[in-house]
Amino acid sequence: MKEWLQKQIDTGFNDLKGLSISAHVPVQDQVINELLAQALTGLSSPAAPSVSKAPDLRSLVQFVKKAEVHAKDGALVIDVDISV
Amino acid sequence: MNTVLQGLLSRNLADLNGTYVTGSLPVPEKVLNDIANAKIAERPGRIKQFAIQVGADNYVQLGIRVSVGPFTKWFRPEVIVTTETPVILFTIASPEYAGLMWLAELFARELLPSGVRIDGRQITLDLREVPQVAPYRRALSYLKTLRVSTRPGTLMVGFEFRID
Repeated sequence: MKEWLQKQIDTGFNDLKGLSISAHVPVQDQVINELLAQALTGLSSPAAPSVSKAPDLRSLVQFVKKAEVHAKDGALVIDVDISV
Repeated sequence: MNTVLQGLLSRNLADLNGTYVTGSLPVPEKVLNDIANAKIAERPGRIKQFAIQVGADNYVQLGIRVSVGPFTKWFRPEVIVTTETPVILFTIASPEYAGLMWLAELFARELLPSGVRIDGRQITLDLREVPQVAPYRRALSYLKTLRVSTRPGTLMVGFEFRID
């Protein structure tokens, strides 16, 4: 499956043309604080050698058609549209 | 698993209340065949090859080459794919294959995760019972709609996920 995903990334997700996802995600401030705490813990720890062979997902960014963030009632609301 | 994600799941995703995700995913039969054939390459057994063809009106022909004694033989049952969220149903449409449900049992035993049930001419895949989905089982209760439709050559999967 990992090889298949890597192949899709390498070919610009050619096999999945037509895929579309639309997400509206309100993230409570508690979750943001937990993410910050985890990020800071990671930054203050000595870097471990990377052994992960997970596919590089950076090329997915080209398929993000809309990404908006706004604050509302103690939550950060993220709106994302993705299409291939 | 990431500790933040673990925390979110342990609170039953309540911190993400109001989340709404919809999507549609066209899966060409080439992708289905690539995945299915890669799976049998990983775990060689009696199933030697897949040649899946997607037709219209939720009809899918499952071409399966199976070793029978010293030979191999192609079986090509047609199934109708439907959903009852979060269950995917495959109903054998070819009457001549109704007596060959051992093929489905072989398929399930060799390749499919637990969560697959065979009952008469119907094979059901309950996503809640798939071991790989276990950590996210409670999150599946927010999967409000899972749709499968077909057009020649492509399986279309649609979903709606809502936390409320």
